[in-house]
Amino acid sequence: MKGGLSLLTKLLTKDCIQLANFVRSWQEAIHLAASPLVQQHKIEQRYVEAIIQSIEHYGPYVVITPKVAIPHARPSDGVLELAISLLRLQKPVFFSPNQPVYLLIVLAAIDNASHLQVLADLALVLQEPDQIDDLIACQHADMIWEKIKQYTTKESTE
Amino acid sequence: MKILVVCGSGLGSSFILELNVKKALEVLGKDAEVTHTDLASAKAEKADIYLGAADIVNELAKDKGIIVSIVNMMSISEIKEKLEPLL
Repeated sequence: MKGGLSLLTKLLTKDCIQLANFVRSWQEAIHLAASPLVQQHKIEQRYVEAIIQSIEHYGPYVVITPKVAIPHARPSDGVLELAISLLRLQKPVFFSPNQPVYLLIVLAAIDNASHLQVLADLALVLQEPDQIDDLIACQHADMIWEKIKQYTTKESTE
Repeated sequence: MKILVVCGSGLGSSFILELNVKKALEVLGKDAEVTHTDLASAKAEKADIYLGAADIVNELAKDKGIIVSIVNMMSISEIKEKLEPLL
């Protein structure tokens, strides 16, 4: 792993990173965040609907840490390929009145195991609130990708 | 001691939370079996402590065992504070 790209940076290609000014609702945010994966045939449209239904049913548990949500559903809900996409919002969208979200990271897993390394990489990014703020401040997809690369390779040599 | 980390699908949030629960246990110098699962399976699985986002764990029956709800799933200190008195 030393010197190599983390699985997260391999999967989160630059064309799956989007920046937007604002969205009207968390549902719209999820549709937008997942749209590259639909266009690239990595997920079916029904996977997006399954994510929204799951949040409507269980509540906004996908808001994993302040400012960040990791919307996802089950492999059987229409995942075609292990994939991940990211949306950075300039103005937050609210998943509940006290949960503003600026970063949405859509996860699409094909089984119970293959995505675990991606999540472990993601944990390296999200464990530091300063790193989250740095990602939110980025103005280009390239910069977001570079930062994630930096955050996920520095500790992989351990 | 068995800690079951629960989320809606058992795939994403619960795995990240499981990693952080393990880190918190390491800091506390405590040992426990930690696994993650989805809410439906959690209802049928026995554990000493059920841990997850409030939206999720509040759906578990009150007589299940100890229920711990976590607000910031990336915060080792929150997890540590909430688990410490229970171990």
